Amino acid sequence: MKSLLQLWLIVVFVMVFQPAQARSLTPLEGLEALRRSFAGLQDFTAELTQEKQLSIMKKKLVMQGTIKFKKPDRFMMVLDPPYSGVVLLKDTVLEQRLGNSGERQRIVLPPEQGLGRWIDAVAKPVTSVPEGTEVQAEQVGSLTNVLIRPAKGGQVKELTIVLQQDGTVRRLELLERAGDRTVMTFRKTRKNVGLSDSDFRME
Amino acid sequence: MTRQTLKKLIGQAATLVPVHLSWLDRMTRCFPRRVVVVLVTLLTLSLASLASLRFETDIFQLFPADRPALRLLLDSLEWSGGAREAYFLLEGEPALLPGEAERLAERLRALQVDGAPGFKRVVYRIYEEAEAQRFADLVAFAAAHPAAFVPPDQREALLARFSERGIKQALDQLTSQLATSLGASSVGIAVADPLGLRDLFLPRLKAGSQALDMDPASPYFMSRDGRVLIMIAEPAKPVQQMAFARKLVAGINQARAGSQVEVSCAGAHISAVIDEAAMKFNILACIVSSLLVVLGIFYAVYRHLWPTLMIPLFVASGVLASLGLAGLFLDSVHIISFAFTALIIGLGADYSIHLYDRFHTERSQGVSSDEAITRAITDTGQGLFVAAASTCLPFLALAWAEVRALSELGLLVGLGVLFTLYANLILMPLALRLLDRSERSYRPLPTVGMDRLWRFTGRWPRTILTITALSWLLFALFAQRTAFDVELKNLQPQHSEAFRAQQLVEQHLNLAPKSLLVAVDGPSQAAVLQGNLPVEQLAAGLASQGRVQAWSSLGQTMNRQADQRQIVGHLSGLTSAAATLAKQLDHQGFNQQDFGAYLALLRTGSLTAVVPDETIISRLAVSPLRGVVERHLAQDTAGWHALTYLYFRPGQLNLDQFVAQLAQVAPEARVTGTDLVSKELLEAVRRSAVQGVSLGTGMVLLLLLLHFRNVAGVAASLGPVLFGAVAMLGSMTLVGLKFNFMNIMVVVTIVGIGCDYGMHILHRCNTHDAAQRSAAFVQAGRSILLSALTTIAGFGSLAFTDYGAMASIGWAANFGIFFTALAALLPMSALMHRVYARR
Repeated sequence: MKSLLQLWLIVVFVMVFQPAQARSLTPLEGLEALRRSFAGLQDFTAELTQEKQLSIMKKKLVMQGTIKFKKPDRFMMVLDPPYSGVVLLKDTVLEQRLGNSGERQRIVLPPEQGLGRWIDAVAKPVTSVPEGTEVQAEQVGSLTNVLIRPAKGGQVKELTIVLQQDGTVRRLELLERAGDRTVMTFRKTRKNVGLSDSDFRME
Repeated sequence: MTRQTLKKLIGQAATLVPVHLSWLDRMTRCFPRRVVVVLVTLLTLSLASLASLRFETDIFQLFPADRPALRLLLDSLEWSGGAREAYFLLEGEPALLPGEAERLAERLRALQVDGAPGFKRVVYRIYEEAEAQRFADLVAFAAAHPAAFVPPDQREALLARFSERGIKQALDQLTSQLATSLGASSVGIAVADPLGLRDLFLPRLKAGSQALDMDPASPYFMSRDGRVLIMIAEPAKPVQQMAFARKLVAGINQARAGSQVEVSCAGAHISAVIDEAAMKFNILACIVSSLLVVLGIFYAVYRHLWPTLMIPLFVASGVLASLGLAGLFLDSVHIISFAFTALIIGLGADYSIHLYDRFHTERSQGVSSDEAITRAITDTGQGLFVAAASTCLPFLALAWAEVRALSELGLLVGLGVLFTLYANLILMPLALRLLDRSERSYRPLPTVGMDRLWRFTGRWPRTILTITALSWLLFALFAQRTAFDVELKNLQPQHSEAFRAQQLVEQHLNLAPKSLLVAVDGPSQAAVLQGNLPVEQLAAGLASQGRVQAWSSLGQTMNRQADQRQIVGHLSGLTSAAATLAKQLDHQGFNQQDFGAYLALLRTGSLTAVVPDETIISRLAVSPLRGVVERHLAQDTAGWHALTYLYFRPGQLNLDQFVAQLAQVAPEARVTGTDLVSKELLEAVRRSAVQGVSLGTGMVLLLLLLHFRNVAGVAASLGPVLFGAVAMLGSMTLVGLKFNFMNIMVVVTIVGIGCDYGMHILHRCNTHDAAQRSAAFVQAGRSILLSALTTIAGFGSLAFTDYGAMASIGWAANFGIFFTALAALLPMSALMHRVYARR
């Protein structure tokens, strides 16, 4: 489960500032372009709308909030009421304040799933598509859609990223094995704003 | 008639020593080659016997494991894994600890021993992703059967959770949780426990699984102050396999090298391996330093190189022979006992000094080499024989001690002293006859101030004796306050990892300063759980009276049948809980079928079911919280054991009273704790010491009686011992040194060694006329001074070791030897002046 979260997070970071492509991309070209774009990024903030369609619920959960990221290994998501909550990831330490209970949970991910390692991995030149992973990319008007199907066995079934022409992520869609679907739409994305560690604290 | 027979017997026995010494002198003089062949054969046999000896480093092996409290402590180490596992304590800046822990864990996981992984598992995080499903399974079971785990005092909150309003609130909260969690990560646990009952039972289970006081908010096994992080690693093979353990420790040392925080490694057995190198270095340093000091003293006085270089040969022969003979009785020798070599150097060099001093003195007076050797062996040898016997017999008397630490040391030192004497009596004549030349000149030996001392004590004998008596009284006053240190940890090397780890746990992680463990043994799980009920009731009673700070047992982390019935009775009205929940799930937009398993259990009456203990335990045992079961329930070849832990502050719980109460409510229960183990060992050591001192003193008295054949001589020999022993106890109080399980043997040592000094003075000065008495005192006094110095060098080397046990022996013995030698040289010579003046 945590590897799913890691993958999901890293793709968010990578995709935020991907420059739009005027042509169709091969999977390898697409991934390498993401890496190049990510190389110039130090931090970013964005507002988001998250829609969750969980298999155990008939209704769709919709929530608003903000996300922050800072290299090498900080990520924070703050959701507004009525589903207020905070998710803070400091490399391998995942802290969550769920729901309105205010109770804080902390778990530690295995080192290989730490955010820092993912960031390191993305920084390396892409020479091949990872074995078992399927990547599709297409250009639709000013938007670029990248669909990633990770190797079987993991929690993630499908990940779709929609990029805008300026390289920022427009939409992120995550489909999990059990049929749970999460769609995040980003707006007002600002990059390299000079975030510090103090911006990644759970009050 | 009896008295005459006794006198006759004593007389006959006393003649045996000169006869024996004459025989030795004749053999070494007439048949040197035969003697060498016999010696070489014996030493070869000793070497073969020594090769069959195993050297141990485990401190637990030093104490009698058949005592109830220590036995249970050792058993519990096996049950809990403490004996098998390695514990890493990372200490440093809180911000650095997680990163360093990750790095260390990775290296430990990658550690290879003989081409295979060195560790089966390495754990330092509370949550392991691989256990998520098992955790969800436990939560599902507990949420469906809340009576099994929800504390009885939370039954109102539990009941409220199943009301219509409670269900609605719980589902509102669940929706929020699902919304705010990343992706669908909360779905599994939501389905298992839609009403969030885990808030009611998880704190209790988590608390029950922790043996240490850790930060509940930390995702790591972290102390509350955030300064110590614990990592547990299970070696791939038992660490009692020394070859494997040594390689593992080498790998551990590599893995932790370069860490930015301090990393200590501990574990009941692995600590012994880790500290092995330091221990060996300590002992080697003792041996080498004492040897160098002894040789330095010898050379400084006698100024002859070749006799100086003979001393190591005599000592090595004595040590080898004693280890060889001990090998016939013992399977193994503890490495601490091997430290006795340093003592043998100190004690054994005495015999070389006395023999060579006599030889040198005779030669400097123009006596031929052959005659000088014979006089040294047959005359000085008599005193030495009695001196060695009086030293070795008290040590050998310890060989029957219940405590291995004392018995092994007693046997090895006793045999070592005896064999070193024989090595001197046999090898020195051989060497002297081989190396000495008739033309070699021997200058008179320095008096080392003994002539001035003799004159000084002759001038003011009464003043010296008065000051001695007053000093004795003063020391006796202080001696009454001599204390005994029952802390076993103080016997360990003070800078060892085991000691450091223990300190870290005490400072940062102990649930309470003191603890007790109660075990109820039985043939089945059900039997021990039933048998443990009275223990749990006793513990609960003590907790309610404030006599224990905390306690834990299986009964405290899960509900026993009676508690379950109480809760079930409270929930009996919840006949429509499933229907209400199903309705609310629908109402709040959940797919009811996804919660089908939980609803089905509720419909079958799981809320009001009393779950058998075995079922609850088996569920816990396969969950990530299996630590609850592992801590409180053990199974081995002897059967099942239910364990209860009690934590308290010093003075809070009266141990004797508790043991008595426990014997009343659960007569079969066993109990242990460091205080109880110390008490047991203290009793065993006390018995051993009393037996050793009594037996040793009795044997020394008999020897002195045989030697002097009158009470006055015996009294004169024991006078310095009495002064030395009392002064030693008084000095120990003055400098804050306490007796402990190891240095108690010094009392026996002082009796054995101390009476030699008085005996030598009496032996030499009493057998000369008044004109020669001064010269005899100078010769005997010089020998005593040098003997005391070399013995102090032997014990002194122990005093500076890192090993608490050995250092305490060294300091105590040095005080004793110093004051005994002082008493033999000052008041005793003053007394002789007084006695001969009257005559």
